Amino acid sequence: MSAWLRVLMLAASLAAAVPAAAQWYARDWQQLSPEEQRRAWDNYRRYQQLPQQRRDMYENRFQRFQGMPPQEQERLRQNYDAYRQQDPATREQFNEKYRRWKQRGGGR
Amino acid sequence: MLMRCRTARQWITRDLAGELSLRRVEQLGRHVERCEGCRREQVAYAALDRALGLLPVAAEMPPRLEQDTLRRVRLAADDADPRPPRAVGRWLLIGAPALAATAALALALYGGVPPETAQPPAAKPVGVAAAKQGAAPAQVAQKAAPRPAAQQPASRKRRDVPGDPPAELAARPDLFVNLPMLRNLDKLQHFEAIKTTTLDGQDGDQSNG
Repeated sequence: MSAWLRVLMLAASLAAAVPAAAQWYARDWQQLSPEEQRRAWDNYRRYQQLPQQRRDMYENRFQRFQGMPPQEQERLRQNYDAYRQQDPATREQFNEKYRRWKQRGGGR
Repeated sequence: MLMRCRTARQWITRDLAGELSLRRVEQLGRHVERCEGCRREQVAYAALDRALGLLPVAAEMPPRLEQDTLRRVRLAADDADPRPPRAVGRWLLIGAPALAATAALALALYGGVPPETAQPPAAKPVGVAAAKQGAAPAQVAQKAAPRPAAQQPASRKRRDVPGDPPAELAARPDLFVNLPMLRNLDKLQHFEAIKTTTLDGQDGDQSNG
């Protein structure tokens, strides 16, 4: 095997390893910006008021999200930006479509 | 057959997540109509859910408002200081050192930490224990509300971020930062499919997904 081929294979394996490592990267509290800390604190207080079942649901979703490839995480973030930038009427219509989509077996 | 309140309350949370079938939504609706306790529960959870889901990711100020505000501040500052530059220079000679000394004294007294940010809620909030015992959210909210918060102005309640966060928050801050997004995870994963879903057709057509 030529040296160039070996270098190429090494580069390819490194490129594959980087996203896998990135998706497990978790930040510390101190690494959050003050604005993120405030949001996290507000959400944490609301989370404390949720029933256990609902907290488990968030827990599962968080693990699912963390296990996604970075590109997929980024896609979801972009979708979330688009979702929350909708005006209330459009958002309500979107939620209604979601209910309809779900009832028709969407996502299964 | 009558539905039990315990089942109804499980269904309420699933309904809020949009994960309940239409048939069960109707069953739940019938139960909630008759049961005041579950009705209260549903209203409380829905309010909490809305608060979580609609929390803005970041407070955004429109650029125009920001520029207008800055311009007004500059104009107000110009209007408020009609003295000639020499007088200003004289004031600076006396005032600046005095201001610096006051600031140094304030820093020494408070250790550089503004008193209102030094809130120590390191102890586990009451809400955790209460929620684990299956208390209703309305009751939990009452128990979890810190006593001094009622005496504080509303604007301060939201800003009080602890320097030393509770262990659960410190362990996984990203979970809590992203909570509103996680709430909508299913919608976000199938965003395009949902957007193209039709509302009017009764034939069960589904564009994709």
